[in-house]
Amino acid sequence: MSLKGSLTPWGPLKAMNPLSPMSPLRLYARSRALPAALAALAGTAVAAAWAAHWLVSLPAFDHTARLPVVVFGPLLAAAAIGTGLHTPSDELDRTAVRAWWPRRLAHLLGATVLAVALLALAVPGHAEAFGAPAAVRNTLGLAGVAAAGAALIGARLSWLPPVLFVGGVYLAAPGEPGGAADWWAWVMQPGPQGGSWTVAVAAFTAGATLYAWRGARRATAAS
Amino acid sequence: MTATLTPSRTDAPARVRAARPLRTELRRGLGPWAGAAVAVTVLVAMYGKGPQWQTRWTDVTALLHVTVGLLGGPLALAAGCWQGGRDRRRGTTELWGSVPRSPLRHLLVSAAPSALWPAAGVLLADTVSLLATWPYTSVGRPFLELLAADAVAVASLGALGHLAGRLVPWRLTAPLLGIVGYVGLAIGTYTQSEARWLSPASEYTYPWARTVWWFGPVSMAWTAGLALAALLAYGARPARLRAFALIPLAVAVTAAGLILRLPSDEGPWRLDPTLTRAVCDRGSPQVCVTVLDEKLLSAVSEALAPLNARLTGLPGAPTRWAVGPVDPRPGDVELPDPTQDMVRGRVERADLYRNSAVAQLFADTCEPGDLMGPNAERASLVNAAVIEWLAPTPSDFGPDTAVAQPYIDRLNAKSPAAQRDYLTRYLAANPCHPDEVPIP
Repeated sequence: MSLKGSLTPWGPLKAMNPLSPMSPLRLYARSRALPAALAALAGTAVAAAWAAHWLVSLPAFDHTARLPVVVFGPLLAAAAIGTGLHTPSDELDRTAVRAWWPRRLAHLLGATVLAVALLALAVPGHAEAFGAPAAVRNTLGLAGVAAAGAALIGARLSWLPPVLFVGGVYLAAPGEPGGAADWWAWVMQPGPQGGSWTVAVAAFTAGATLYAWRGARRATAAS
Repeated sequence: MTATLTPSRTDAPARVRAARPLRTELRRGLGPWAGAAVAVTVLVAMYGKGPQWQTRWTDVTALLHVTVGLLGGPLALAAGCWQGGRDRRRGTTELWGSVPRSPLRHLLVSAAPSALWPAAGVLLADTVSLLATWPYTSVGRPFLELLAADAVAVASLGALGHLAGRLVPWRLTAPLLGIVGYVGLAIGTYTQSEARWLSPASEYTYPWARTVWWFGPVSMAWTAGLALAALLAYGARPARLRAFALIPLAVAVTAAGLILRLPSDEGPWRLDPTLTRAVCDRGSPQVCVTVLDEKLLSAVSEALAPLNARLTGLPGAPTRWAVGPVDPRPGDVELPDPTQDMVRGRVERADLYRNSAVAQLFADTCEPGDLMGPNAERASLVNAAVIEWLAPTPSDFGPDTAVAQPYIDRLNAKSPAAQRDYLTRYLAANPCHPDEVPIP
């Protein structure tokens, strides 16, 4: 028996299949509860697609009735992404030799791209009014807010800032798009308004940068 | 030296403060933040709708009810759910099972912040909104019993969220519960069945109405009974004591039965005849509002003054502009509700309000087949020109009236006496019959 082969009962680490039951990727996915987060994203997209179809099919409504779908679908997706950033071994992770920021960024980008794609498919047609562009913009922006929340108050409570923001602007936003509301109520805009896209992209960029740089704030036992 | 370091035998023993778990629970954790979040969220939403509710107690109560129900309720659910999962996150669930305090008492103490802080946030937002409304209301009082029922409903949702947090060990439970709670409450506002009055966010706005006296207390019994029943069913030990949960459940079901017997359209609201008495100014035409809007009378009269100056004394002109359900008389013209254009006691867009009033003055209902014939288009232009001449459409509002400009120019070119003569002939004509409409 060679020395290399005697390191572990099942063989040297380098010989591991990356998709084997104990691969680092699989361990990482399990530690972040990624399967549950992915299932939540898929469930959110299915529920959003059903809700959008149901609202449009109501006699008194048309495609503009999809506003709740393009707001609350991305909100739930952002909550799933944000809570998925929680690590149960934060102190241990920070002792690693390799830099964590590329992995954090890849995790956030991967989950966000998946959520964006799923929710864009959930609201087809009428891109100008609460269609796929609005869903993409809101998913991006709210995921960024959740990522910033994870860095500042912890991943398990990262859903709180986007929920508070949406709760605050949902009833306060004016009925007509445009004006200053493009900026402060960006999540309520129908689609192509430039100001709303600027804020959403800025929120995602800032949130992703902050999370990649700092990681999720270590949660105390009480939080 | 030694004596100075030794405590005197006569010193009183140090007083040990009794532990106050409820006080500690209320002061720490997410509770105060949840209360602040509810207050800020409701106040931001109310601020965004400011001009719509700062005139009448019914308006502010109705909007607070919807805002608190739709925003405060889901937030309380989510925050309570998070608070409910605290012991599991701390890993102290089994430890709590070893203390002499009963499980029910521990549950009630730990659920207190989930229920009380969001309710306190609601009451704070209510107080601020009512104080902001007070200077501009004319009669009546705030519907405190309904606002108290809203606070109890939010507290109940917080307690139910707390239980959900204890029962479901999943990170996404709290935001999911909040969003599902919002969607459920929002759907309730769209339905027209009797069951919508059970919802803490049911919408109804009729300014000249009051609720039946028992609706507030019964609503409290409905929501609080449900929450208390759930808490007792979960926390009472030994198991046979859980039967006590049936008492608040029976209260809640009885309250729900009473609410479900309300009419589906107006629910608990009833017209209050004392609020519809007319109060008029001395102008011609008179401007009349109900006593509910007495403080608005001078602002509405002022907004309509330029229009009234052209209509004064003309045969066929309205005798009264009537706002709201005042006793109708011949010659009355109903005005649009001014509260939509009022900002803190003044008409913000007087030009728009005058234009709406003139549109209302000439809003005849023509029969099918009217407004036909060779002169129909000309009559339509003349009608538009007269409206535009009496109260020009604001540049940022309504259709473009440039096509009627030649007739407007002709009206402006006339002498005051000729203008009054033309307006008299126009008011005497039937605008639905194009041949009768006089050309300026």
